[in-house]
Amino acid sequence: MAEQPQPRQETMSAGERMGAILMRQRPDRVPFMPFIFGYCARNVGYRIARVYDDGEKSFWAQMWTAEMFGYDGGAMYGYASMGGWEFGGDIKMPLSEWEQAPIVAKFPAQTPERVDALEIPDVETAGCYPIAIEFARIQQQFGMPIMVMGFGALTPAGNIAEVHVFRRWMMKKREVAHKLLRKVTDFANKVTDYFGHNFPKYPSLPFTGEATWANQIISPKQFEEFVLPYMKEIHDHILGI
Amino acid sequence: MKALYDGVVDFDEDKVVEYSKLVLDEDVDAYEAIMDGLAAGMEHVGEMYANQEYFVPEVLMCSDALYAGLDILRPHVSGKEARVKGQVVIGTVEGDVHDIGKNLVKMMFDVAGFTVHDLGRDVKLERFVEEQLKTDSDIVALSALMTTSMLAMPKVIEMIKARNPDVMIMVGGAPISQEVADNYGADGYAKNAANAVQEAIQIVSRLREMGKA
Repeated sequence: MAEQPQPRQETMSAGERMGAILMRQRPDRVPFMPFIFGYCARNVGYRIARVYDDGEKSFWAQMWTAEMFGYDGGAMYGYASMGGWEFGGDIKMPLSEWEQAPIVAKFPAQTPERVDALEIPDVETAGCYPIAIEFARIQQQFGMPIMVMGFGALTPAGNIAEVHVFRRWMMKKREVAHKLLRKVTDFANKVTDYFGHNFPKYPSLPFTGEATWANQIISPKQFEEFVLPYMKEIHDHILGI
Repeated sequence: MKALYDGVVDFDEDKVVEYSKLVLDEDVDAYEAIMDGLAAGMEHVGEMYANQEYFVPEVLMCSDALYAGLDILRPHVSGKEARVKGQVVIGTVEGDVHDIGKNLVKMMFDVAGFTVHDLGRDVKLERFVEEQLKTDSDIVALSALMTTSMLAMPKVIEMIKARNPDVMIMVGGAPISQEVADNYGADGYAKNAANAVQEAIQIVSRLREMGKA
């Protein structure tokens, strides 16, 4: 009978392992970080909405679940439909049996005129950011890295205009698409500045989820025009902080 | 025909509208214009998508152009071609807002001559049951993009079958496979939009043979 491979002896705690990664040192093993917000909420007896609409409950649901299963990483706050609520639309939290994540219930800018009228939001009051800030303060309290849901460009723009409207602008009204992307990018940079200035002593782990330009949804040419320059600017701004 | 074909391929809605009106003015057969112009153009778009010359935004723009022509021409289709192939209720299940794939399947059904009742996205499960009963549709087509939202499918299939055991259910979407469809109790599964229509036509033929449709 073939000898079964033995699990490698762990020599670091989850915190030390993630710390090593952040310090560009070699961890004892590859960290394991599942992406299971809804499961965390249900696992500790909360409704799924709590992991998105309550910073403190979200934090503890994720930490308790991580402790229970012994995986690395820890807690972070965010969701894929960011953009709509933050720019003045409405969000619908997952409350029914089959809903798993927040979705945009009212898109704030579905016409070129509305894009013109959009103002760059105040981070402290914009959509989910009061919850994200509360979440970051708890992370700070426990000496953890601040995991910030940063803003991408194309996906939030799709959540502001609605994907089908935005993809028409990409093809037929490119100047409107770029105008919206400009505003989204300005807000993304403002978010970076806010967390950089308010949590200066803690390492930040900004992350973005950009589903709309994943896989083969848009062409390489469209990526080059509508994603790359904005994402580069956002990433450069983060690295500048 | 060539102008309709080109209008769809070049996603030129204005051109498609102009030439669709011309088809009617010059008494050209509307069904032929749909099949040899619009549908043939869309078929070429499908090839361009497969060859990665077009991506989803372009395909959806072509679809807009196709619908602009269909809206004008379809009311003028007559004779045996006017007979609908069947009726379909379609939607993305509750908890899922991703509808690009569902819209492509809907378009294929439309072109193929089905009457389509599109419920949209994030559709409450009861709505599928109600709409099927209201329209007496042959098929209910369910879409889901996420492994989390696909879990609603067996529930809605059970609800629909409880009220009308004769209706056929098709499922599709990125996380779905034939095995999943079988486990969920679906009658049909399609890997992509083109397969969905072939599967649906077979299902409706089966139903008609059984005297149920």
